[in-house]
Amino acid sequence: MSQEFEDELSAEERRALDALVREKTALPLLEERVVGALKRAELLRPAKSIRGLRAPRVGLAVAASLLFFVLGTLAGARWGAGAPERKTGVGEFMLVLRSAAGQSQPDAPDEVRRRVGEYGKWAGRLRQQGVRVDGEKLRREARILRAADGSAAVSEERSEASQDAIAGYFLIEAQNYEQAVKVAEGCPHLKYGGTIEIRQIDRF
Amino acid sequence: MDSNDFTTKADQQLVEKFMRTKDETTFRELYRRHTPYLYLLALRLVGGAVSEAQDAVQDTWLRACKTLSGFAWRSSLRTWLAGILINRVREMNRESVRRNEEELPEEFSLPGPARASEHVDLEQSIARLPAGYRLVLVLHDVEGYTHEEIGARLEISAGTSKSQLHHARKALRAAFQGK
Repeated sequence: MSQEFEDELSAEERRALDALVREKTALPLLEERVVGALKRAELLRPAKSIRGLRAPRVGLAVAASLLFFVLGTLAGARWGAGAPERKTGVGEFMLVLRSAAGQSQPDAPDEVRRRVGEYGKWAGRLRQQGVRVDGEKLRREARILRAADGSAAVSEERSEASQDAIAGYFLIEAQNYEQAVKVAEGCPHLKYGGTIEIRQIDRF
Repeated sequence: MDSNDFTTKADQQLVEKFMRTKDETTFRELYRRHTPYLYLLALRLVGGAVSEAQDAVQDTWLRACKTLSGFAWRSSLRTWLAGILINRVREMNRESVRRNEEELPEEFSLPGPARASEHVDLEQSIARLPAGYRLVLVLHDVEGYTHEEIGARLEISAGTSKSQLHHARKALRAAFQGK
């Protein structure tokens, strides 16, 4: 081989290259996307999950929670449920659904179920239009961790007690903020008095 | 370049189980073992374009799962997966007219300890190299492939690989001197 290309790295250059990191954690969204693609290609058998379990007889509260979960799944509000594959060149946005101060939160299981279904239908319609949507409803109960005197103090709080509590979130794909806003405008959360904060996911 | 025996054995066990069961949990374990490496390699090879890197990683796993039964363990699983990824990136380079967003986003950075800024500079400079130079430089100077291995992977001669590397290093040095 011609010698003209036989240049060597200096020790400093070698050191700099060796110091580069070798791994980078990808967001969980990518894992769900890959798993979803493999399932659609029938290369993967779904894991045994809560979706496949029967509701245990441990009281109405647990049964109701599970029902909401399953309803959300059926309605398409779960991670990766039937979501289209991600397109190249689009951004990922999180729609943070916040409860407005004083916004009434439904307690009746029927009403909660109806709303979960409504949100899920909205997500399902978006998917039919080719928009990738994932999301979760969050429970009201929360644990708040704060640093105090050099250690972490945990307090239990129901998120409804605080203003702007996060009620749930959706992850969508959009070309830009304008498109993300347009998508979010159709979310039923607004008509119930809640607010939606739209944030683009920062990969690095 | 190959992983150690322990890693290989663990991979073999997982792959055997996955081949037998097509089980999602087992796949996720395999995925989590190798994707941090594949994802960063993809990011470097595509010059920091996140969505392209994700596409490449997804396609890599799809192809890997389709052809896993033919994998003969002549290399480590990671090396085999990296080979699939490199092929996919080559295809993407051929397919795509680079979009306007090829410009490296300002936030492009990589986790690093104290001298993070130097790492970022180097990463950014590598990312800004022309695709052909970048591919050879990352494979040779970062990943440790030989020119013969690069030639085989990229379907070019070892001489072309050396030539590309020479120009890539020259461009990289020029970028640094210009800072």
